[in-house]
Amino acid sequence: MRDNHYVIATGTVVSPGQVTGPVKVVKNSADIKKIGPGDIMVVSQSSPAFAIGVMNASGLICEKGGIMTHICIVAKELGIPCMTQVKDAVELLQENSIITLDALEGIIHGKPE
Amino acid sequence: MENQNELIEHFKQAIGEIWIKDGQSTWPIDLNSVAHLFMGIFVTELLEDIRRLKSKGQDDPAIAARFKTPARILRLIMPCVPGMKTCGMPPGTIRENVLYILSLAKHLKYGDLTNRGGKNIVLAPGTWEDRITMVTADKSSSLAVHKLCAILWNYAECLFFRAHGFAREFHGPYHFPDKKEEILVRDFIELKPLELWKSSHPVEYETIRIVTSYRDVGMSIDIYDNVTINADTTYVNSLESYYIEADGKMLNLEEVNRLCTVLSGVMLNISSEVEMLAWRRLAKRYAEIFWYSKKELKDGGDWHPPGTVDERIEKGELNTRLQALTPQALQRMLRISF
Repeated sequence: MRDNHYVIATGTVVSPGQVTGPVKVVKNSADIKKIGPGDIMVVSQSSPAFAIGVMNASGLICEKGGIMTHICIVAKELGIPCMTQVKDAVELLQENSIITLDALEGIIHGKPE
Repeated sequence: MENQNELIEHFKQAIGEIWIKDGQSTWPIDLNSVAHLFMGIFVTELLEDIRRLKSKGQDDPAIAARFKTPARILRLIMPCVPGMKTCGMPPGTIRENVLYILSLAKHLKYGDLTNRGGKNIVLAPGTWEDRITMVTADKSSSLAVHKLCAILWNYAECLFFRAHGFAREFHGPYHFPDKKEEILVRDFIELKPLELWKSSHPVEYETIRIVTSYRDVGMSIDIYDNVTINADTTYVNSLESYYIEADGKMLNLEEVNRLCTVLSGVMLNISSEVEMLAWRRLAKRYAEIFWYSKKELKDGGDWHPPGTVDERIEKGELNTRLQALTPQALQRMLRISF
């Protein structure tokens, strides 16, 4: 753990890399419009349309699904840092809060306010 | 050469490995929760279609060719097994049918049928390499190529739900003579299934082939042609060269980017349409997808599910038993079902 940072959650690494940015929770196809460069997209379950959001995002966190889940495969194809099986991710990660997705170690860090 | 017992064991082992790593995919509805409503009727009709073609003098290679890709045949097997059980077939008969369907897939593959060794070798050496012109990749082109790969993946799922294997075959790794790079071929077919999805009409192409050459990625491909590469590598950073063609015509990057926009639009429309449907409508859609996958066996006749499928779905209920099974219970079921 880095100085002043705490571990919010852990998960399985799908695509390696590290990124810091604001959380954007995507629950339906309409939500993908809010994803922009630098954002870390967080989903509970996958839908094919969510792939369009992943293409604009800088990181992806999935609550459920294996490493072969399609949305994870999209992240892997594009080389975007991605973790899956992050338990309760949608509940733990607050919209717009700044987090670090460390998809090298399989850890999500937060910084105290 | 492996005997029938070995082949069945290799098949079960390959499927078991996928079940461990695949995780649950329930978009737009869990296939396991609705398959009991139509797969018995489906597999009965499938076997009858094959018998009819054989009685007309068609041999197995000709029947296999109607499925277009080995993935399409291999991915049919596991959904069909519970269907055969529903029809009251004993394990021995199910086993014979599984072996026969596996033998059909073998006619469409050059390499090992169950991808032992992590290779899905569909194309025979010397039959395809000379007609493609690989283009050297840079960071920008690599991103564009993989964006198309990613969109097509999800587009296939959008069209065929969990049965997306009907629309794609990823094969390799191949090697060009005297080269170390690992070649992956991503074939997408049925990109414009207007009889299933009228809203797919903006997509101009039926088929797309993407050939990519990577350095040091440690590629492995399982029996459902899921590709894995070393955990610390990415496709984008490892691409050396690529070739993309649609309906046999080479595409440039400008066309690739335009195609990505078209596919994204169609995908959004279809997924929005699908996400509005109640479970019985989704079950009917799933049934149509399965029947569509064998429409080439009908010689141009009506390929749609019979009326009994609609009736069973209207009167039936969701099956929640399979979702509750542990991975260990699923593996046990796989061992004893045929």
